[in-house]
Amino acid sequence: MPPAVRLQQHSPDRVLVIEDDPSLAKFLRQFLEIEGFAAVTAANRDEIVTQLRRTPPPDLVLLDVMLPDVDGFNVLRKMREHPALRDVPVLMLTAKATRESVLKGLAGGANGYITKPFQPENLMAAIRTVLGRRDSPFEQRTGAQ
Amino acid sequence: MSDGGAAKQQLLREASQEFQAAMPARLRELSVSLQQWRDDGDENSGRSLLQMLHSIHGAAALFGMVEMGDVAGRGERLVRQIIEGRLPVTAQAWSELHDAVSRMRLLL
Repeated sequence: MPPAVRLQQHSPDRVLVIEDDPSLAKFLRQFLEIEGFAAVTAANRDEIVTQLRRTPPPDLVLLDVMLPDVDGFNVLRKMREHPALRDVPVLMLTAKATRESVLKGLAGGANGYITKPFQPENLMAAIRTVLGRRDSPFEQRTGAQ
Repeated sequence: MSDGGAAKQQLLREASQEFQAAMPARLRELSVSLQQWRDDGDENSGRSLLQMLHSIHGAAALFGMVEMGDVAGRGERLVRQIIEGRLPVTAQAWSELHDAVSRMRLLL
């Protein structure tokens, strides 16, 4: 069966982008959509709670560490305590590339850590690794190299 | 380049233009927060300043403003050190922060 037909039987993976910078959040959402994901964004505590209460939960969360009204590490901790969210993969996004913050994120149950500024392709590689995928859905659909 | 690659390049170009167009307003907000923090000692202004610098630091390089991101990153570290009490609030510290904002304005 051709890849395009095979893909039509699956919903795209849903990614929740938790990022307060509006330019970056919009860019990431649109970039993820080009890559074949379904992406939504949340910029503050209320929006995060709203998105994480939706069922089914997202397939992956990109989580900025520093948000205006909530600490990303606290969001991660709450997710890992919640039965419906504890297994959702989380990639932390941060400019704080200290050893302490990396260890804190990983000890808190993050599946990976991307330091800002990042290249979008590197982020996509990390997402695909966490989701156990080798190719982007776009490339699978079009057959492009 | 595949259609996906072209679409991603186009998206990055548009996002960069949008980010750069928003920078003057962001820098005005930065200046206001810095002024309020210095004049009133308002901790919320300090935290707003930290958040704004963090946002610019995280996004600027991606959108083609590498030096802007570097300057914002240095400002972010300085503000964090002050807020966390690891750096004394001195005239030199304020001067460095004002210089950072001025430098960012020159980079527009």
